[in-house]
Amino acid sequence: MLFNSNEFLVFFGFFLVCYWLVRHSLALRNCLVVVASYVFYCWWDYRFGALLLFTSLTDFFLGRLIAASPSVQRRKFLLFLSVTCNLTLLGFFKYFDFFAQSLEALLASCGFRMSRFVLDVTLPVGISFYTFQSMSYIIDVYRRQIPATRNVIDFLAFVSFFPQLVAGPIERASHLLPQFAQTLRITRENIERGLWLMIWGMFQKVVLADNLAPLAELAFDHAQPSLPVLALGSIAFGLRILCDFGGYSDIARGVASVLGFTLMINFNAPYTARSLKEFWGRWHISLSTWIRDYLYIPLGGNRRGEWRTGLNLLVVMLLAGLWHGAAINFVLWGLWHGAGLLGYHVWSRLRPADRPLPKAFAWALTMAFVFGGWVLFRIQSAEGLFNATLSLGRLDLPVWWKTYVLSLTVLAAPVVIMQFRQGLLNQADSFAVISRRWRVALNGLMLLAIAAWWSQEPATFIYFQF
Amino acid sequence: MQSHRYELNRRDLVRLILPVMGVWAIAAGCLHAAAWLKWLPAEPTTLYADETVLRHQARARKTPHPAEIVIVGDSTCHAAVDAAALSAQLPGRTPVINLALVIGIDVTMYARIAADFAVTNPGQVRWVVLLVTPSRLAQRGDTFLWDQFFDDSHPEAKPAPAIAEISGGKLFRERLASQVLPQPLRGKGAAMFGFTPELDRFMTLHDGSVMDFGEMSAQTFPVPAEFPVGPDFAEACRDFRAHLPPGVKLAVGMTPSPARASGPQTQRAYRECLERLDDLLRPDALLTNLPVTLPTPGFSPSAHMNAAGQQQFTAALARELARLP
Repeated sequence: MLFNSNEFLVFFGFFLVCYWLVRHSLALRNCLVVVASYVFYCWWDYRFGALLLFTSLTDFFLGRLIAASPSVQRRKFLLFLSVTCNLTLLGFFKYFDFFAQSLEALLASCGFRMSRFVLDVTLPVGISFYTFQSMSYIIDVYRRQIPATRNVIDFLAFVSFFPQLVAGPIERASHLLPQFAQTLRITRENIERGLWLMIWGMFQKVVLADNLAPLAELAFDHAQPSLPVLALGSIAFGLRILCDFGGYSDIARGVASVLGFTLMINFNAPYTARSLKEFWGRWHISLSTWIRDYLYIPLGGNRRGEWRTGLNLLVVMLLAGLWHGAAINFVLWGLWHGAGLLGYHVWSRLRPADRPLPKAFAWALTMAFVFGGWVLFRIQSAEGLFNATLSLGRLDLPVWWKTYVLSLTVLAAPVVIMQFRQGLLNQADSFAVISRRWRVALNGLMLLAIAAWWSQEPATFIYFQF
Repeated sequence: MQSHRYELNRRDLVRLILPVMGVWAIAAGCLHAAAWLKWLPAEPTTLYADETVLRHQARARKTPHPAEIVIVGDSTCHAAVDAAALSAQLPGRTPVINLALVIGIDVTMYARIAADFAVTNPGQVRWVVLLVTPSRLAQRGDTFLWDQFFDDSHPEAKPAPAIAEISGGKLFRERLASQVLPQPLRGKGAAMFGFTPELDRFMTLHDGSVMDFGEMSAQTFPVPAEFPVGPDFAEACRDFRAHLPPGVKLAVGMTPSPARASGPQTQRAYRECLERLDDLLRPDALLTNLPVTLPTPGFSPSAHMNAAGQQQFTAALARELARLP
């Protein structure tokens, strides 16, 4: 079920009524959340509900066993079992075909012919998100950072919580799980924040992202590539992906807020970053912190010398790229950012501490790198990458460039203004940077714009495919 | 254990929601009032390629133009004839306008658009040239698109969701936002035109003609062995002459098929179809020497002509029209 669909409006309205009815019973509330979340998820394909249930129950019971086990060896083995189980499912659904195709191509290049064994596996929506969320629980239990929950319904609700189930934020058990065990307060501010986040998120998706999509498509899929066209296309795509994914995260946080829950902030004005390191502290925060805590630091982080730090950066960013999908463009995008972070790390060691780069220059350099990376992210074929590389030497402008720039400027304006206001006030939460009076006016006007572009056949969110 | 506590009352809820809805209602009211007072700018040519073509031709039929020859027909005709190049190749550089429409429109609409142009430019039009693709004559035409774009009494015939209509969303999108948010095109044409306003400008500069892009592969659009004429098309053809103003002559021809996709029967089927059109339309001139087929590289993937095909067909049409009195 998509947030930007009529079905969701009906579903959420009905859910709110039920939610009010069960306000006196915590157990009933959590049961309601689980049932509603499975209905929400199974709307696409009921079979994948079983997969979600299997992942959840496996980690619940293994978590209980890990917590109860006094032996380190046994706990390690159980953790290994859980991680293997999660990664096998994720690997099968997400990467099997990619590796099968790659192996076929490799063998063919060596002169071996083999029968086709690509399975054309359908990717369950949101599998990367809930798998990582469930894995974070089991790792935290193993590390004794959190106790294993005894309540299976709480755990099912934690893994399947419908506002953030299919595209994050990837919540940590230490943050979200306790909320299912406590009485929640729904205050005036909860509703006010929830309304703002839902409307602003929906505006970003329905009005901005869905209108930026054909602009990006025009530059990448239809036009003759030249450097200016690629630059315009990467700006359109970079803004689109922010509005699409950031919009989803905002709607998720808004829905949760109306229910009394708090979800983590996933985007903190990423396009105001003045270094690549800062960018990754602001972009898809739930994934970047997950990778930091469960991959980068266990690999040694920056504590094992310069060479090892560099290698760790490359490895974790390669894996972050692969997390998005099994395709060469995601591998290259991950390596691009890995190399960028490595370069930044080296440079920050070498530069004189008293002579930092001018702020505007640092920002422009960072954005050039980030938006250059979006070209790799967006172009999905080797042929497209080859053409893009050739186009770097061409500077010709298409006849339509002025119209393109006008459209891009109009669509970028709301999100750029919001980002820079957040950056200026150093506020991660968009709710906090707008006064109540302005919020009311903007909410009303954004509803008008959403109604204008509301579609009976809503466009899906980009990150659903991951 | 209690699940959750609502620490706000109904009045708080109303105070949160009502002002937002109020702003929305005021904005919607202002938009409806501005539309009623005719203060909002007209809807530009923004939405889709076909819509842009239809809007352009609807406007062109009511615009002064020196054309003495009016080309009408379906989208194959629209892309097959470069009106400006045709004019340059005719004796005395006779002015030409291409008012062809898109497929799916009832054939009498082709006559009506020519008639409207003749009324706007009185005493000027000498020939109406109807060019149709033979493989689509079995299909039923529709008047819906005419109602939508050409009938002045139904300027807002497009259906829109009720919420978009009442909430002012439709007015906001089509009359305000569309001024600065033109629709990017898709397909090969996007590389050339980019957006619908550029397509519109191209048509104005080229006397109504368009151009399609890319090259057809041999597998697409196999040409049928027969070109049947459907009963609806036949009936509409009989009314065709009645819609043309008196004194305007009618010439009828057909657009060619891709050579690689054509079979041995194509020549015969083409001639038979042309004879059938002659029976139905009773034209003043039948364009019998137009090419039946042209080399496949002259066609786009959508079976329209691309730049190469357009050049060849326009030259062939110029030779045919040069023979007319």
